[in-house]
Amino acid sequence: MNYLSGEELQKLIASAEQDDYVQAPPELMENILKELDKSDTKSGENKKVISIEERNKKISEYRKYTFKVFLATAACVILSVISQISSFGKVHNIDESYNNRFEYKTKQEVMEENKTMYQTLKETDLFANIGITED
Amino acid sequence: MEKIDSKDNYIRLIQEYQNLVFSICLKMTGDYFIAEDISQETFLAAYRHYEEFDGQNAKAWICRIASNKCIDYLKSPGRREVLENYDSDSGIEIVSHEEPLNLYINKEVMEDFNKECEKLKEPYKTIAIEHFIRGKTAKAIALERQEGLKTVQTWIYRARQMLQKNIRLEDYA
Repeated sequence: MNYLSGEELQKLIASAEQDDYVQAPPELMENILKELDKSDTKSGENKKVISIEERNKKISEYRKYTFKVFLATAACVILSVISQISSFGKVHNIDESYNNRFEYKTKQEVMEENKTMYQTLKETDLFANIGITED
Repeated sequence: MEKIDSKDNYIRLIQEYQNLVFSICLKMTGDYFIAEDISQETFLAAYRHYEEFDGQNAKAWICRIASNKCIDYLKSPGRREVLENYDSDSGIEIVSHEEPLNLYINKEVMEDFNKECEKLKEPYKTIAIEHFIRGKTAKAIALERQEGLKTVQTWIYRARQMLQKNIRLEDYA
């Protein structure tokens, strides 16, 4: 018994289509897909069969995710640059306000002040009250 | 026709040609369950060897796989062993595997198969007719009969076992 020739096969197909068309068992497709999953798992192939719609969906999801990561990275870079610029300005302002907060006096002015204070204390006899004598 | 590069295309291929492939297998083997097994093997082989398919004529390609698998089955030592075993029990004539291909008439095969289903006891008789003859799924039968899916699946399994045994005995008696 040999394999069918092209002509014999065509005759067989025509005969099956015209006279002897029989409905396939109801769970044939389900069994085929089950067997396919089993054999893929057994052979250790991680080839998962997915539909075109599913594949396109996954691709668009991946693109969206990549875009989000890109946006987040760009935002981080921009924020860090902006914060650097603004913080530089702020530090500069702080320095100015810090400088403004104190009045720097010359040595002469300080000695004048002390001298005035000494005179006042002397005039009010405060030194005598606390037991300090002028020598 | 597109190559089977996705599950959708593969399912479409099965949906389109499952009846034709099964009809060819039934015509060549004359056995409902063997035809079912070979149909299954045909589509699995189609999936595994789709790279060899030139994308031109899917019908001829899938039918070629089916017919080759049927011929392999008819020539297989396993089948000859079954025939020899039946020969020793019942004294039937052994069919030589060198003989030309005999084609069965599907209508007659299905009529005989229907008769075998009718011979079963309840609930297997009704289940076999609903499932194998009318083409209802286990789920549909379970819903109709208000039975558990597992129960119906078990009935189908047992009906299949009984039918396989009875059909073989009928064939070789």
